[in-house]
Amino acid sequence: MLFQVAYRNVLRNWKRSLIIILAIASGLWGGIVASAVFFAMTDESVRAALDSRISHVQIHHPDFLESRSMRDGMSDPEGMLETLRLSVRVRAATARVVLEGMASTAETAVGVTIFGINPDQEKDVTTIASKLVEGSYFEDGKEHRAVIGGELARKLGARLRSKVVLSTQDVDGNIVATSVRVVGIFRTESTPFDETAVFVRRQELEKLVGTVDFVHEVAIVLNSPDQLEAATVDLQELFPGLAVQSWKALAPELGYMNDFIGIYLEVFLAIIIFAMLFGITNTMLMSVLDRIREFGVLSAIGMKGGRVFAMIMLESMVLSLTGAVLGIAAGAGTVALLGETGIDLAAFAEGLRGYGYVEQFYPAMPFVFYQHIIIWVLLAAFSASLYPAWKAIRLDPAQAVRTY
Amino acid sequence: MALIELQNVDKIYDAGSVPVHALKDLTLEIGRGEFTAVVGPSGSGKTTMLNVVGGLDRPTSGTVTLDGKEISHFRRSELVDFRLRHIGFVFQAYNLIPVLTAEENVEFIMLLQGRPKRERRRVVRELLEAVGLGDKMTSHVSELSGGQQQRVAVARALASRPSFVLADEPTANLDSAAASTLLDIMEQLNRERNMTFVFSTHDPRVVDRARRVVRLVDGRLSEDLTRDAR
Repeated sequence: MLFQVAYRNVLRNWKRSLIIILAIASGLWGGIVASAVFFAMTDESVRAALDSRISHVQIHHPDFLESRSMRDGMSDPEGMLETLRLSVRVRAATARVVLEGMASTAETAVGVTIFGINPDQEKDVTTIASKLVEGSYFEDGKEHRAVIGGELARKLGARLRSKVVLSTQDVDGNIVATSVRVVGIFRTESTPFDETAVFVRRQELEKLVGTVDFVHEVAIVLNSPDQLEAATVDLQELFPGLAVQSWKALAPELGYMNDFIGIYLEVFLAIIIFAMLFGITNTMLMSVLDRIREFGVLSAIGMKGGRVFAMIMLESMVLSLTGAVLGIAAGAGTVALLGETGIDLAAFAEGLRGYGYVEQFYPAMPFVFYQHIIIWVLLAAFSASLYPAWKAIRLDPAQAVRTY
Repeated sequence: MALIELQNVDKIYDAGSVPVHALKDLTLEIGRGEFTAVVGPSGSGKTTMLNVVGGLDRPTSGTVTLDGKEISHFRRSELVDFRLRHIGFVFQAYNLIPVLTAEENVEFIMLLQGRPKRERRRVVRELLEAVGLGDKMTSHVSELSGGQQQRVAVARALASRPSFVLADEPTANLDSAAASTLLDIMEQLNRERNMTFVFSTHDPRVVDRARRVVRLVDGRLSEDLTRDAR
């Protein structure tokens, strides 16, 4: 019957109850949609960065990432790839020559990173081939071909089929150069990458710098990306003298984004619910102050403080959960709709790419967050009932009945 | 042994700078089955006396013994429990729970006592029929007249199987017919169930029906008359 009394009391001043229910519902709706947008934007940006550039795990000479020297490479890449293919952890792998250099056209010269790749292997590891906005991905089979980032093309004033001179140091430290023709222009979610990346065939780059089967980077895609740490440890055991690093170590900013997005969302929702707490408290306090005589009578006839508290808490729960259910339903519905249609921020693409964010994404909210919202709301409802309940329990029944 | 026993009870309220001496050395005994009216002018201490007897207020000095238990030093929670199990209250303004129906209002107090549902349902029906509201059981409080609400309040007061019922100005808000009906019912309950009623009242209709009239003036007992003596 306490529950009956509680929900009837909520209906008793239905306008006041409706206002706080709508406030809770709209606050949660906004919070859920904003969280889902932020979550998807971050999650898809991290995934896009891994797919297009970083992959899950990379292997380097222990000094390479520090020195970026062409001498800090790894020999026998085919043997390494063969070993990786035999690992159950690995879905695909590719070996790259990575050299710092210069790309020049008649107009200008720009510092670049030249990747010597095996296009067929690379297709299984990165999505550059699918990010082409012009041209093709080394499909004509001819030599001296390059695929470059869209931003780099813009800076160089280069277009499809333009000639670009790539210069770098050879194995003896001499400056060497080669002329390549642009056959493909790609655009990823990262402007900094698109400004500096040049892909050429590995054998051509090795020939230019005078090395054979000597690579700087092996990029790996795992079968189970969620077992990243365990896989990294396993792969390190396969290559004890080399640096085997997960993407979280290679791109710590993405690692933080990925690890902390959940915490950010929890904090964000907690702040929204914390703000609601004051609204619920205010409503419950008004409700108690309106009914001082009634609480006095209840105390007079023998209702103990614990039951008064339970009744007020139930009222607070009924209000809060009604608002929460409406807010979650509206929020989940909106997220599902946006998850189908997607959000296209093409108008802000330049700015977003500068920070490595994707411009089109599909909002989603992990189910666990909805569970957490319910828990947060229950905690808020409980907290919101404390002060009003304390007021009601501390009433002097004789005075409450006589005065109010 | 008296059911209600006040010994040298003083009650002083700290109302700002001037303390108000509401009850002065009040000694009084009320036996089981009495039908007693406490009368007196406004400010004479009637309501204070009922509050002290009802365990809603503690005396400043003196002792209050109810049904053999000295309650003056009970803790707050003990008083609440004592009220639940031993005292029935009827208030001037009815003070029913507005969101409940007549039967739910009567049942509520038994729920607080933890009595089984079957018993609660039986007692609700019996009491509402006894106060002439057998056909209004499922009516919401707001659908009842003042007289009917006060009869529900009487049924609620009796539902807890109290040792006695305290009624503070029970007829003050009722017209003559409703007041008469209510008094008939309370007299009948007093007679048939030997239920003790103590009223504070200004209402001569109640005084006329009371078998004992206790008059307070300035917090002191000034007159204590039985019907035969009046």
